[in-house]
Amino acid sequence: MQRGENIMMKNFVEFENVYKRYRMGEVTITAADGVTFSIDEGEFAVVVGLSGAGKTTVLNILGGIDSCDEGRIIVGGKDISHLSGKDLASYRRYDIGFVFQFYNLIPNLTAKENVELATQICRDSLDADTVLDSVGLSQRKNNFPSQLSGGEQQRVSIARALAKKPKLLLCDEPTGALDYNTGKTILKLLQNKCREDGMTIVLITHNSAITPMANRVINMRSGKVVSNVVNPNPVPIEQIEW
Amino acid sequence: MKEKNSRKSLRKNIFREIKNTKSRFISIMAIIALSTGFFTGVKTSSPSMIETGSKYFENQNLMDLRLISTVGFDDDDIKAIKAEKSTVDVMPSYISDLIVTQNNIDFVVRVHAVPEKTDTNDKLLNEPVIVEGRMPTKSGECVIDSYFYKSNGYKLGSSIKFNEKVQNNKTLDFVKNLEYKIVGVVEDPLYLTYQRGNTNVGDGSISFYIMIPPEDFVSERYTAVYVTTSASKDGLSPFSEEYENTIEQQIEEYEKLSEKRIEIFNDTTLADAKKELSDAQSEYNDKKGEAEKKIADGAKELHKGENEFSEGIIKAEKEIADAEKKLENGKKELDEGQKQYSDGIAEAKAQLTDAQNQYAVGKEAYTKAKLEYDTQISKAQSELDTAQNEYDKQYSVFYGSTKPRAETMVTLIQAVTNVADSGIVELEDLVNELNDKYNTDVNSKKELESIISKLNEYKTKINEYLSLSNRLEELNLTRLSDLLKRYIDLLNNVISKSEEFIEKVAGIYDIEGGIADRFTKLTGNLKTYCDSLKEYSVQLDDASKQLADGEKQLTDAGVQLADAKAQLENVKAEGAQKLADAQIQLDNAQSQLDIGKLEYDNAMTTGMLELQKAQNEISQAEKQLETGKQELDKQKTDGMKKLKEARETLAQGKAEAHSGLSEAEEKLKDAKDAIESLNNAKWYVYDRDENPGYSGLEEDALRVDYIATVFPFFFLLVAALVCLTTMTRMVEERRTEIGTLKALGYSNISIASKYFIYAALAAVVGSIVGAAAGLATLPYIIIDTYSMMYILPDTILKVPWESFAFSAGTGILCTCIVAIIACCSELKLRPATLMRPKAPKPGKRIILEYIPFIWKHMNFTSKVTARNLFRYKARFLMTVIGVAGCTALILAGLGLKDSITVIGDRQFGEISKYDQVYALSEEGTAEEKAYLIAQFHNDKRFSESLLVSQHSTSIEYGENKKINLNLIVGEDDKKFEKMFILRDRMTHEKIDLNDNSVVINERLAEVINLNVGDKIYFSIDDTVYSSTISALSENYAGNYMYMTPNLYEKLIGKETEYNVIYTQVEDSYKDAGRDIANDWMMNDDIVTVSLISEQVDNILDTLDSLNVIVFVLIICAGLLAVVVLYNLTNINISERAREIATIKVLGFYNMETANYIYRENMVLTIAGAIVGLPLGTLLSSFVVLAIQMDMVMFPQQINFISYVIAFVLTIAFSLLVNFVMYFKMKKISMVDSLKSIE
Repeated sequence: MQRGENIMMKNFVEFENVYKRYRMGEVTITAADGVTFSIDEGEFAVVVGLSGAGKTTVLNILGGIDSCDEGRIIVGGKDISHLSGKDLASYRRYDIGFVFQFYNLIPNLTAKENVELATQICRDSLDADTVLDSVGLSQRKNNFPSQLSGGEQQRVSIARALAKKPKLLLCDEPTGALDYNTGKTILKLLQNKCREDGMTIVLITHNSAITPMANRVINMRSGKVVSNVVNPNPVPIEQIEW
Repeated sequence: MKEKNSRKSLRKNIFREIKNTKSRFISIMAIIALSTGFFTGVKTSSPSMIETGSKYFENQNLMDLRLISTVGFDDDDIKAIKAEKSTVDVMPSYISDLIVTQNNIDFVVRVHAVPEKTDTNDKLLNEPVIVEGRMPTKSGECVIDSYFYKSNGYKLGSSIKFNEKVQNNKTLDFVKNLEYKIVGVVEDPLYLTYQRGNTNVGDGSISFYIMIPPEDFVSERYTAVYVTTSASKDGLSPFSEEYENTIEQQIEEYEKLSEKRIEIFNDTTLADAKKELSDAQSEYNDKKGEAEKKIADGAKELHKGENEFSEGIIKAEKEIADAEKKLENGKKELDEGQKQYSDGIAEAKAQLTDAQNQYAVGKEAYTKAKLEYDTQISKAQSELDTAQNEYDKQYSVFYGSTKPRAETMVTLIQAVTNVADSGIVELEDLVNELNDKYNTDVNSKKELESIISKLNEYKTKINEYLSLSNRLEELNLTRLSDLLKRYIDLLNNVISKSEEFIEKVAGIYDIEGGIADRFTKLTGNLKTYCDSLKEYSVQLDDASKQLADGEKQLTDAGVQLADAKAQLENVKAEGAQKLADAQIQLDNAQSQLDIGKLEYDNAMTTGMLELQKAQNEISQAEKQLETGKQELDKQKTDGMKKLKEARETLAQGKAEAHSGLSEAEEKLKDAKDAIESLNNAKWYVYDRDENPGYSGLEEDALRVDYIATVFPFFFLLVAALVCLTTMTRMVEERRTEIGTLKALGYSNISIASKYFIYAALAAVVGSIVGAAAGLATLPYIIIDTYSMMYILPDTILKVPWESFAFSAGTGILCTCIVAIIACCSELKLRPATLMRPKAPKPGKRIILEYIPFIWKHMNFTSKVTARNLFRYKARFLMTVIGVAGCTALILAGLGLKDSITVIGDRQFGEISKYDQVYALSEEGTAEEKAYLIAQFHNDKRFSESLLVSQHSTSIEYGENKKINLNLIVGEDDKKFEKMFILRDRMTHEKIDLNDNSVVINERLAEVINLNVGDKIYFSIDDTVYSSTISALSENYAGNYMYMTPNLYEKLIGKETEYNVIYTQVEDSYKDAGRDIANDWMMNDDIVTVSLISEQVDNILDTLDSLNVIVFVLIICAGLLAVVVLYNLTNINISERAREIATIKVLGFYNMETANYIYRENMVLTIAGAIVGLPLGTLLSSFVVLAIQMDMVMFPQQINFISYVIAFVLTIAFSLLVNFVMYFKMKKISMVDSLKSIE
């Protein structure tokens, strides 16, 4: 599938002055301090920053598993900042794919079943086998997570996310628990999904070395967006070394 | 120092841990509390019941033995009993069964004597508990049974009134009063339940008891003796076996004593009585002869009296006849005299009448003459009166008005005239004076003034005249007044002329001449007037003259009138004289007439007197006759009365003689009866088991104890399993912490101690709380239920501490050991491994997957559920066992209830088909019994009746054990089969009796451990017989042996003696069972009756109280299910929080997420319940077997509905837990659960 720039939506994801505060006893931590940025459809956006910069908070809010205290979040033209619990669940179900650092696979289910767990609740999903094939796990479909390597598990995780045909794929340090090479392949997989299938991907990482591969780089520090730079010429991951 | 610090932080760690995992800590605590509480609580119930009972008996000093004698006891007996070596205290007392009718219902009342201190006992025996009011202090007061008091209309202060008769005896032969005032309400320790026992009075069952002072009993001999023996005084528990054995020995001891005493009794009292009887007999005979002689004498006397009476009557009657004759003669004479008298009177009367007529004529003439005279006189008188009136009138007119008027006038006129004359004279004088003065001293003014004053005087006079003239006018003397007026005018004229003159005189001083002339002229005029005045005077004189004439005429008329009067007087006197003469003549005639009449009257009176005399004589004669008659009557009545009296005396004498005789006869009979009853004197020695309801308490307590053992034990098992899971999970959760501590260098022991202490704390606190709660509730609930049947004081808790120790120990040990084992398995690992998160249990293929047929047909979620279920096998097992335990407990409880219910239905609905059992008097002969049963057959209210020989039999078995049973021998095979259904329990096949072997019931066979074909040895009255068992029959309540009459005769060697009648009441009379029983109790051959329906009620009441235990069981089982499921679900959720968060992130809705877990829970619950049902069935049968008594067989029965209820209840508890868990699941935060594992 070719990337059709014409039909891509500008400002597919918009954050407007989003605040998130946590109360820890008497201390209030502002995890998101007036975050404002936007991402266009089909972009591979990387949110980069040090630990505690608020990246994960932003991603959680964007993924509908956390809520913001102030501000507006618009995804594909839909305001998700004030959705009810049930609507948020629907939003997660139909619009979002999540990839975690620690995969979060159900240990008691095989790779295929893990994917099926996601597809069976979706109206329009991809075939589990197809997706697993597309992430290169044709041979490992019937293995339990414990029987898979980290990279393979992450692939299952990505497959599970993609199988739902989400509008937005959110990845939280997907390579954090992987070795360098495996990490690279995972990133490659994601870059390909973006390029080939036009999937909008938001990836957070503390590793700024991988930013050149992104269409857009959002730099965060202390809960604030420091810069939001569009990279007109993303570099294929193979060319990046760190 | 260092060690101390580490301990401190460890301790902190423990408390923080507890705080953070409150729900876990509490759930361990709860499950241990529940099991310990339940176990300890239920286990305490039975000992507490026994303890409460024992204390009650001890406090009330309940007797150990009760001695009853057919002949009562005397003081020597009491002394002998007291002297017996086992005796501690003896209290002689009285008992009578009397009847009270209330609202047309007869109640049998057992009357006890109020316990009293005597010289033989130190303490009151059977001391009643006063519930209300006080104990009786004097005769006629009573205290009443508290149970009956509650249910009946009696009040403190109201009275109980006995019927006058009890059967054929008088109530007053037993007690001193018929009416007793209720002064108090008591509980007698002799009556432990609401059963009041049986008697041979009324309908045979005692309704209630009362207590009256012992002095109120009439009987000389004591009717009951209560004894406390060394058995209870040695402190043996009344329910212990030692006690029972001791008592049994002591009973024998007293029975031996009784034989001795009876011998003495026969030698003394009985011999005395016999002698008395013969004395009485001879006395009676003497009395009889004496009385007969007295009666004969009386009859003789009466006869004599009768003769005397009739003689007297005849004599009196003759006397009366004579008197009557005399009277007749006298009456005749009187009639003659009367006739003569009336003739004479008639003649005299005629003469008198003639004379009277002549006198009347003379009187008439006189009257006429007098009338004439009176008329003439009155006429003359009236004429005279008229003349007199005329005269009086004129006289009064003349003297009253005319004359005085005229005289006044004359006087007046004369006065006027005089005045006028004087006036004129004066005037002349004046004029003269004037003239003089004029002539002399005209100029003298002074003199003129004097003249003027004189003029004024005149003026005054004129006024006088004027008034005079007015008076005249009043007197109507117009002419005179006119005259006077003219005179006055004249005077006025004079005066005015004088004044004029004076003026002129005044003017004289100026004018001279002429005046005197004019004055003179005037004076002349005056003179003229005066003359005319004089003329009037003359006229007045004339008038006076006329007046005098009138006077004279009047006087003349007066004289004439007087003459006329005198004349009239004369005439009057003359007439009167003449009349008086005539009157005298008339009076003479009258007096002559009077004399004649007087003579006549005299004659008449004389005759009359004579007649009267005669009359008197007659009436006197009559009186005499009357007196004679009266006397006769009097003599008659007197005689009659005397006769009657004599007869009465005779009758009375006869009656007296008879009554005296019959009394003597009765006494004689009584004495004979007494001797008869004394003849077979016997003592009965009863122990406490004979008290109604006493043995039931022990049985009930034992039953509770069995249940207490089985159920909570099971409970404890489940609880231990739950603790195990929970603690394991806890240690696993703290893996990282353990690793860290280990890495820091803490010793294994100090690390493990945290979990050990945590577990121990939860378990210890749980056991204590649980035991406290259990002890505070369960024993009371259970004992309270039994209290409905027993009259016991407040429960005294007796905690079997070993049970508590056992249950608490199990709980504590389980949790602690589990904690240590779990710790040890973790501690074996190296810190580095520990600090890494434990890899979640890897997924595995399950067996099901290898059966593609099934696996393929399962949908995705089922597959996931299936795989999850098999993933945590331990938990799977735990849950299933826990839930199964819960279901089993519920089912066992319900099954117990079903079994109990079925006893009543089967025993009394299917097996025992009789309704009433009548016990017959022992004395009846076979013929009498045959006659009696014929009567029963004739009673249409019975559908069947059967003579039965029923004997208490005993069988020895095992080691010195003995069981009592009833030997039943029915007279008629056919009827027997209708009333006693002998059948096999399983097949319901009918069992036939034969003449070679016996049939016993199943439970009995079980107890004595014999079976079909075995030889059975049984003893009747200390003789042992043997036979073979041919079959075992189904029976639930009571133990029985059945045989045919033929076999009985063959075995025992004598003819079957039937002593009871079993009856079956016609369906339409089922409700009237009591009435039928009452009717038959009137029959002397029947001693007691027992109604099966009432027995059934009693038995069912006892068993119903087990329902509470069932209820407690279900509640506890429910709690258990909830705690187990909660715990396990809780673990499941917390363990899989990450998984749950993940599927939430994937977009599962809350319900879908919950179902992900619930599906597993439901499958586990259903699996548990399914396993629990057979387990429950097993448990139920085990419990039913355990609580089975020697006397009662519990059929093992669980209704289908009980299975359903147990299943549904378990599912319901599970749903409840799921409902609570839903909220917990909803609260799981995706963000927190998915945070990178640190």
